[in-house]
Amino acid sequence: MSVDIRIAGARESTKQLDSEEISSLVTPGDVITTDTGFMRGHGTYMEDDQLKASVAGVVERVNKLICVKPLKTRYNGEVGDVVIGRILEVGQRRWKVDTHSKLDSVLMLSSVNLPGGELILLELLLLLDNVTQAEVQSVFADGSLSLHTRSLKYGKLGQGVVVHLSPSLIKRRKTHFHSLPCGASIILGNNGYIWICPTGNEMEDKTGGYEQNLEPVQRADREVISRLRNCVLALAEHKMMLYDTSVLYTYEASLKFPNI
Amino acid sequence: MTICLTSDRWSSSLGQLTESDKAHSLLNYAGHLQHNYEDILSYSVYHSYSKAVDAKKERASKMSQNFGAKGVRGGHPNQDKNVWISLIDMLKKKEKLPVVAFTFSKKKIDENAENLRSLDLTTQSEKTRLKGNDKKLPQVLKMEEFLKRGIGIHHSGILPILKEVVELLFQKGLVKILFATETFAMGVNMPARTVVFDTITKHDGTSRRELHPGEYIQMAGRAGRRGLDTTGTVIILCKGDVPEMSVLHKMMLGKPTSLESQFRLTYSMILNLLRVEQLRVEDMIKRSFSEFHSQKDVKKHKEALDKIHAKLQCIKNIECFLCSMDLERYYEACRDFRSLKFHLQGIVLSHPAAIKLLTAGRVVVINNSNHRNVLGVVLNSNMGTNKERIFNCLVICEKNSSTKSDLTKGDSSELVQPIVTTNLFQPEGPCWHELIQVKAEDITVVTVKTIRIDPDKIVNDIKKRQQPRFKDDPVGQSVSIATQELLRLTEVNQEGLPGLDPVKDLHIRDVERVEQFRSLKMLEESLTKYQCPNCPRFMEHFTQISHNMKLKEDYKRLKFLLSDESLTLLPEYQQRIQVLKELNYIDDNNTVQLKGRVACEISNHELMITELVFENALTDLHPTEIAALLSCVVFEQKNCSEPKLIDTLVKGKERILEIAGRISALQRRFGMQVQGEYEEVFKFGLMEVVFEWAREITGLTDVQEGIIVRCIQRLHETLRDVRNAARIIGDPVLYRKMEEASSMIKRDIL
Repeated sequence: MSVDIRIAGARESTKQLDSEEISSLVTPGDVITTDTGFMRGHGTYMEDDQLKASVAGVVERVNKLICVKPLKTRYNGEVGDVVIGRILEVGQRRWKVDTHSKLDSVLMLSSVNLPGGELILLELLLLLDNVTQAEVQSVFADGSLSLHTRSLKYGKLGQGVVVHLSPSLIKRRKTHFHSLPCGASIILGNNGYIWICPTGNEMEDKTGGYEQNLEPVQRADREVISRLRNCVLALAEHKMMLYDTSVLYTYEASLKFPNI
Repeated sequence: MTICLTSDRWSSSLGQLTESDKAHSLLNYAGHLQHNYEDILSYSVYHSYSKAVDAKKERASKMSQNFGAKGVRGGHPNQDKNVWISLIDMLKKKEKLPVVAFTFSKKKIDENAENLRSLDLTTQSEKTRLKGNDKKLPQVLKMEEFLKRGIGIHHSGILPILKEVVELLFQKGLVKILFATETFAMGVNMPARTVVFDTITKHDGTSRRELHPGEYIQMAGRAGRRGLDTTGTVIILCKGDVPEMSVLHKMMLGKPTSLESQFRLTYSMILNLLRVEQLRVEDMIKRSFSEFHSQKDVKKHKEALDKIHAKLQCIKNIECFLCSMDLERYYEACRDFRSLKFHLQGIVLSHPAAIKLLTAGRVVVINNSNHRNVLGVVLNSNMGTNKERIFNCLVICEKNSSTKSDLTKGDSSELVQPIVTTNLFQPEGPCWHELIQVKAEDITVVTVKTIRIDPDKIVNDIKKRQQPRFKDDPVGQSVSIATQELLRLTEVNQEGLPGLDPVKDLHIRDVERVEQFRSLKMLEESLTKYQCPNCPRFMEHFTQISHNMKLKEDYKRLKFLLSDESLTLLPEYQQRIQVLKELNYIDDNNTVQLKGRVACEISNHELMITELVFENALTDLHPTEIAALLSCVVFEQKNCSEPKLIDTLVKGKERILEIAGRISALQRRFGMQVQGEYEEVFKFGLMEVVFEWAREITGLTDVQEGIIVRCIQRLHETLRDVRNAARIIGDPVLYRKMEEASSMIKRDIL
């Protein structure tokens, strides 16, 4: 039996530094191109007439704009995204929310649907460490986000599990709130936080989450939720994109192994 | 309520002075006595109108005696000047100042003001209260002179600060006569004692037209200050001819313009709505005013839909072995046949050749709710209420049948009738006749036969016998001859008479039509091949199935109306989405991409500016050049002097035009109707000015200062938008340049 062995030094360098070709995967410091006709976007910098990448990720080109989309990053908010956050601080007329971004996000009191229209003490609405689902209303100049829960779909989340992932794994879709047929619902926040909870009563939706369903969750439901969590973590390990069908398929595949 | 008819006093003193002769008063209080107001107004209008016409005639005749030529028409400049001077003199004497003179062209305003340089309307004490401005721009100096003498100008070409000054002074009462355009009428709290209309026609962007009632009301309503004046006066100058009475009537008493939706689907709106998860663009469209008329019926439709749904649950199918084979198809065939025939009949009967043939004496087969398949003869025809032809025909019928032809009942029954070939109607008893009126759709066949009759005699005879006095008179000879003929024809041709062939007799050669006629014939033949008419209980089954099918059709129709498909703006929305997909602003799932997010930041001409940004057209230019280039998207005046441009600007201009061409080709490809040429939206007249302004020089173009100011303000906003876009992209170079350009532009007088 003959085996092919190559010495490391004889290995051909697979990276060509042609000025016309633009490779798709780059690491910090790689030269993307030397063509000066391009505009540079996020994740790039100019050095001696060469356009270099400053993060590790995928190169994207839109007309004459080049930017690098990093694999692992903090969440960069866009208007209209759905995020899941944890309350860090309760302030004057606002809450500070942690959304795994570079700066803390802000949830103003004026952007919250108040139950019954009355102004109650801030503390009663959202306490420290509560988890809430919100939408990005606007982005300040420094990059911090202003959130709002202006619809009954958003609000404080009841009993469930939070999973932390990298935001680049969440695929941008039309809806992020999915009710899976296995008896649990999953919310894929754009900021990389995932919320898994039992498909509760319909009532919880309509009141913006201010009436909590605090009765203990069934054991069967708990098993489903844990299984889902493990599936999600597995997908994240292998750097697969997360969306409702991918999670569902993984879940169904995992049913073959009863001891997950 | 005080109404003073000043027409008498006016015309007597005016008649000799000037040609401007029309004066009427407006009511001070709201016209809750509208009809009184109209009466009085029309009386006074008529009164003074006739005086005006008389005075004009006098003038004209006097002039023609002197010169032997026709009187001068239109605005001869000297003539105008005299008109104005004498008008203002008169107003001053009558103490009718301050006055607003509405002129609809800025040029005319400037001319008028120039002409009045000689006037001085302010008293000495008032003069001291007017102060001059600091800067020494020519426009400012000119305004200062005017204002010192109590004359003001107000239009969009004036610098905004000066406009404010004029408005303030007018409110204080220091400006005695103000020449303004109609935008002044929209201003809050700017009433005057008198309003003068320079003309009653204006140019609205495409053509010259009379003032609309709404516009007239708005401007004339400026006359009379509450608390300060007892009456207000409105004067219309008749510089050429006195306008027609009807024109004036329409303008003053017509209905004001109705509210129309100005909702427009823009790319920016679509992109912004697609960003948010919850709002659907269709919902937004549904809520707009333009869909109002269709949406207000939504509730009614929903209820009807529920009712029909309930009914649909309880229909039972027809259980007959003969019919169940092809009853449904037969129904559909009947329905198609009927609608096609109806459609074609309409075409045939409005064809000029057919109309020629449908004269007195033509024999036709009539088929309406009262008379089935009956022979009749056309007597005459005339136009009915809905511009459709109505034919008077004589038909044979049973004696003592008390049927009344009722044209006003509208359409005959909604259910489809089976097309069974029946024989011509033959009266079983003694034959009688009747005069009926039929519409085009009731005439099934126009036969080739004619009868010689005297239509007038027939009509008179029948009408005479309709009166109770003559009811028992013997039938007139003409009528009996006609009836005998019809009866004979019926007996001879019991299956029916052949009708006119549309191709041969009517010479219809249009290919489409001939095809339709042929398919009609085939349908007719196929109807004989169906089995179901043989069933003994056929009529029952048929009515039942037509009920069922009608229910189903109504259900479908209501569902359509309630759905998204019935929105009038929906096709345009689809087209725009396709354009956006093609240009990569959204992906196939309608998720907004980077380009789309950039376009959201830009408020007008989103596509063009985004394309410019992404083509790297702006990053290499100097900030002043960027500002000059982007001025073309905000400047809107068409006719002005051509700018002199440096090289980079020329290149940039070409690039813009090229991108515009690309976008418009794309839009056209997807079938969007765009107003005019997309490329012509961009006006380059101010490029040089902006370039130099950013470097501090003026006096390079004939465009008025106010417009330049407005353009620069809008340009500043656009630059700010592009700066935000640069931040989203992440290009700091572009960001910095935009900031610089922005600050270079916004300075001093702005």
